[in-house]
Order: sequence, then C-alpha cells, then structure tokens
Amino acid sequence: MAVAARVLATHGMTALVEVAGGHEEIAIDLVEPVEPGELLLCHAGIALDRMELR
Amino acid sequence: MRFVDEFRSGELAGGLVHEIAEIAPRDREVALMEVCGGHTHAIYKHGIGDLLPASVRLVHGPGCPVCVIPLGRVDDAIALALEPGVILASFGDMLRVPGGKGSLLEARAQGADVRMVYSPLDALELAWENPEREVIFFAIGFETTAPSTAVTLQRAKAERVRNFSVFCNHVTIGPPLRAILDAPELRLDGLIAPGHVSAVVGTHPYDFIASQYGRPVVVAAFEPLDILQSVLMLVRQLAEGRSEVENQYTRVVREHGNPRALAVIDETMELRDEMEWRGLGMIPRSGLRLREEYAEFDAERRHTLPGESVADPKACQCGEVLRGLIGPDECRVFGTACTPERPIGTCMVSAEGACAAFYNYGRNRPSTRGKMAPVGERVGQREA
Repeated sequence: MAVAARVLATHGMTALVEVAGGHEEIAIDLVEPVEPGELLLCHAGIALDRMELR
Repeated sequence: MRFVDEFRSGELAGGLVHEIAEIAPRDREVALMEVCGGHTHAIYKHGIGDLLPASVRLVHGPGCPVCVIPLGRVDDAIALALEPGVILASFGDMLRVPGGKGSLLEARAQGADVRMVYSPLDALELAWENPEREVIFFAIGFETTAPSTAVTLQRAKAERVRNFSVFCNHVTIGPPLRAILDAPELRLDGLIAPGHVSAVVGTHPYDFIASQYGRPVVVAAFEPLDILQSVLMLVRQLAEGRSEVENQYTRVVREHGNPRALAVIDETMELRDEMEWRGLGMIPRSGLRLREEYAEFDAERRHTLPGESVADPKACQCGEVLRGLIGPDECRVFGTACTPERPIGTCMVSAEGACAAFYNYGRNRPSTRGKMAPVGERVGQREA
C-alpha cells in the first residue's frame, strides 16, 4: 500500500518525510522539486505523486 | 489524524449508506468488483460489506500483487537465491509465499542468503555494501511498484553498479481485468478501480471497460468514506444507465497519471509477449521485462532459470478467489489447513490477500457462501 507522508527536509533526490508517526527517507526523483510541508504519496521507498486535500 | 479522520466519519458514512440504499435495486443483486487488495483489506477491516444493502455485493479481484505471482516464478527466485554468491532481496510478504518447492524463507533455512527489504533502493544499497556478492532484487507489483524498480535501475546504471540485478515480475492492470470480464462464469456490474495504480497510470487504462464492456468504473481511494462514496457513484451510474470511468480519488489521481513515473517505467521496461498469472493463466502483454538497454541488470539474462509452470496444490483455491468466483471462506482449506501462520495459497499470505483479510477481520461474521447471483441477471446496462 502507498501511504501519505509529509516532507520535513530534502537533500538531492532524497526527502526526509514523516509517515505514521515515524521518519523515513524516500526518493523524490518522480516529484522533485518538493518543499517541506508538502504531502506526498509514497510507496516502496519512492514518492509516486503529490497529494491535495480538498 | 489528518488524512484519516476526515475519511472515517460515522455520520457521513451513515449518509452515504442511506443514499446507496435509496438508489440500489431491490429486485436483484449488483456485483461490484474491488480490484485492489488494498480495498479488500479496508472493506473487511471496516466492515463495509455489512453496511451495504443486501442487493449490493462486493466481489474481490486480482489486484493483490503478491497473490498473482505463480508458483513457478517463486521457484525461479528460490533457484536464484541458492546460487553461490547471491543475495536475493524482496518484500517481506514475498518471502513467505509458497512455491512448488517451498518458500524463500525455507530456502534461507537451507542456507540461501535471502533478505527482506522495504524498497528496491535498499537492495541497491545492499549491492554497494557487498561488492563481492551479486544482489538480485525479486521485483513484483503493479504499476504502483514498477516506478520504484525503474528508478533503482536508472541509479544502478548511472552509478555503474555491476553486482546488482532485477528478477522482474512486474505486471500491468488492464489485461487481467479484460480476462476477468471475458470469463463467462462471472458477471460483474461495475468495478472499483485501484487508486494507487491509477496515481501512476491515470484513468485512461479503464476506458475500454466502459466503452467495450458497458460497465461503469470508479477509481477509488482506500478509507471507508472513499469506498462507500465509490459504491454510491457506481450504483448511481447503474441506476442512470451510464457506463463511464469516474474518479473518486481526486486528491491524488489525475486523468493522465504521473507522466514522469510512466516515463521511467517506459525507459527501463517493456511488455512481455505473455505472462503467467496465478488463477488467470497466461495473459498476453500483461507483464514487464527489462529493456535491452538494461540487459546487464536483468537476472533472467544473467542466470539460467528453471522457468517451469507449476500447478497450484489441489487443495488450494486461490485461483477461484482471485477471479472472484468464490469468497475466501468458500475455499475448502480456508482457516483449517490454510491460515496466515501456515499459508498454502498466496491469498492467505499478504495482508492485501482476500483470504488473509477475511481471516483477520471477517471470519466470525456470517458466511458469504452462496450469495452470488446467477450469470445473466444484470442491472440496467447494455451488453458487451
């Protein structure tokens, strides 16, 4: 399953994200550039897309 | 919790259930297939089936990526793992799937170096950490997971990693749906399409279901309100005699998906002529393999595999569960010989498998046996 994660910081093609109360590093090759605070849909170590809450 | 509480309101759920009951036909059954194992898991976890009127039945589909891997491919992975110098890495669920000759975890007990990873990028990291070994990533999954493998391959090529390869078993979502819709033994009135696959591929791959088969499709997210709203959208289409592809998961899914994700898949992988699916057999142009430009990272080119097609154990009815022909508890070994602790079939291994989900959340509820309506009783829509 893919999960929603909030970007905390980025360096290169990697972002530190908050997901389910923990922190993980994910690849952002498919969505960069991203900014801290943005919400990403993440799966298998990579961000698949951005999320928009409407 | 953000992105959870908003989609689990009991009050809003009650309103949706009321609307569905108002629109749903009272004189015959509507069969809606939730394609994705993530939806199946959420439906059982939240008891969504119990909220729907008796005439609306949810049928489980083939969208659990672990469940559709045939036994022969597991045996191929075990053969790779047992080769000298190899580290074989894959997702945790895949290590527990029984092949014809045991599972990867059992191969580890025999001395094979089998590692669980969260991402193919972790497997690439293993290759950096073990330069004297060959690391093979056993890749599975639909278009949701293929981008991660594709980005890993791009990085491996850019970084000139020589001791890393991929045993590619990625599959695509459209062809198995066509196979299910072509099967004469199951009649479906509409489909709940997988949200996360659609984040990558968009909504276009389902157009043929609406235009050629006359069935409505709703791309759906995974929280209880998402699923209930999707059922409402499908029932409404049926009541109005429409068959369209609609998008409920608008907070992520766009019409054309994520073009960057599709581009990395296309750069690294291409369609195979055919691919074997558990329960569905050989399906033309339904699986992916590495392109020639990435041949040096292709475990199938670097190694000789058994490549045999292995029949399911006679007691196992995963194939019928994956095709929506029977409910999990209609399998003859469900909950007795086949449990999450000692699975016989793939559907009992993964949390997204229909049998594991039903075992964990639904096995004490009333049986689903015998609730399928006969073929041919279809609600207000044209034939294919």
